[in-house]
Amino acid sequence: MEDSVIFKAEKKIFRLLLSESASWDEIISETEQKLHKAKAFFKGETITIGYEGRDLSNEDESNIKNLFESIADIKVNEILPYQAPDLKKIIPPFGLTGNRFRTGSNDMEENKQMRRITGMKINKNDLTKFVKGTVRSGVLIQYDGNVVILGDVNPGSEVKAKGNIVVMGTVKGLVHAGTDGDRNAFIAAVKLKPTQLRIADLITRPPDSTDDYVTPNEPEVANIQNDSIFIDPLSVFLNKK
Amino acid sequence: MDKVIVVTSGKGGVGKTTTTANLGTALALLGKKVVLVDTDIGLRNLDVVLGLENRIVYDLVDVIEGTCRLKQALVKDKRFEGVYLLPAAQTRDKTAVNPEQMIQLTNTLREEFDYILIDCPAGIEHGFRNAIAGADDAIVVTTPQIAAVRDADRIIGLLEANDVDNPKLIINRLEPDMVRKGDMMTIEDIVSILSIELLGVVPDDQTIVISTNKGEPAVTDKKSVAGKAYNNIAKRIIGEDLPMMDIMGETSWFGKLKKMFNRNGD
Repeated sequence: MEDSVIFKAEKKIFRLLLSESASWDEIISETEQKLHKAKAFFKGETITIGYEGRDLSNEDESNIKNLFESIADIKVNEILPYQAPDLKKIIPPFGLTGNRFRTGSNDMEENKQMRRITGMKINKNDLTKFVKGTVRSGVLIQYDGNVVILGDVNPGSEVKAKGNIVVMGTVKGLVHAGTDGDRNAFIAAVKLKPTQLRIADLITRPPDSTDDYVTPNEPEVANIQNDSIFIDPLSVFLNKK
Repeated sequence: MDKVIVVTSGKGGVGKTTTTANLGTALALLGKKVVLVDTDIGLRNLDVVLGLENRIVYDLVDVIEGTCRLKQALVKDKRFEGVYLLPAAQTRDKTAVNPEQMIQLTNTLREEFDYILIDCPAGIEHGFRNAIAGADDAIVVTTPQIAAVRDADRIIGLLEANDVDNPKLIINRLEPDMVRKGDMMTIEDIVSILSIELLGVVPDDQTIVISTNKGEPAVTDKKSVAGKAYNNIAKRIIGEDLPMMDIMGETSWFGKLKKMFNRNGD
């Protein structure tokens, strides 16, 4: 049975997701249950609660506030409807397309293939720098073109390119493609496990919960779609126009 | 391994000095003539760990400045034939020595000794640059903690950039129980990030605390597991092809049985 109440502790706000359909009693009892479980974790903290999912009267808000304060020894500054913080101020986690449309290679005519390859925007900076070996912590690779790394990018290292970046290994550090603002730039790697990814003016980081994120058994490509950085399995990326 | 080996890590407190003292003593016990050079000027510890604190008359800076002859500064360990210490200065700072002077010093030492182990200070600045100046080879020490491994990675990059190629790795203070529970990085985790040859793994061992305080290297204590690990590493340094000590208890009969149960999800 789905939860009626979900706790989400974020940096500046404690989010309370409430089910619209559940009865108020259910909401209260689940909140109590969860607070008992989370007691030790939150003890002594001061939080602001942002709730969403249903409207609450002032009395309801008070009741919730009291529950938090009495059961879990948390001080509640305020409790108010949740408002998503300014996007520019937070670093959003990757969007994952997750779909793995495998194009049957049998049905691909040569024409279609050719169109797909030549159809890709050729970066104006066609020069490519090749780096042989793993990029170790503390090393900065910067280039006014594309960069190909034949190795891993270790945490604490940075690879920045005006063009695209291809890593024949695992990205564990910071990678920034399209540094002069080219939102068409992409980052392709055998595995993407970065500390941060940046393309043009957008920044993103790995999702907090690794439960939702399954690394596919094929290379991944980070690219911009609809103003966000998404990570596609290579096969999905290749299927796009 | 080559003659002049720098023992470094980046991160402080992971066991460079303990490693230098124990490997040096172990090599001497194998019949080699070894000099241990403490380049941590201002924060010297190698003398303490070796139990030779009270016998220091001259130090590294005195030798470099010409205040004394090299021989006068070398402290010969009376307990172990073949162990010599060139202590650091305590009342000076790292800028008292520069890399060129270190190269000259190590060249002089080469003529007299089978192995020269250089105990490097923590960090990546002047002290580090002094320590690696004359080195042919390097041993990078890390503990199984993410912060230490990050620093080790940085250090390896700097070593390679300074032409000290193929550094070898020692993983220190491994706790098999924590690794088994998943609370500590595994040997494979560390080696896959650092991508250098593993020289040995030293398990976490309380005898080390005792031995460093007493000034008696653990390699002489037959009951010390860490001591045994260091002895094995010393053998590998001189070229013996020893298999790694089974710290995780995986190859013992019981270890194999446990592994079998774990695989079945019990």
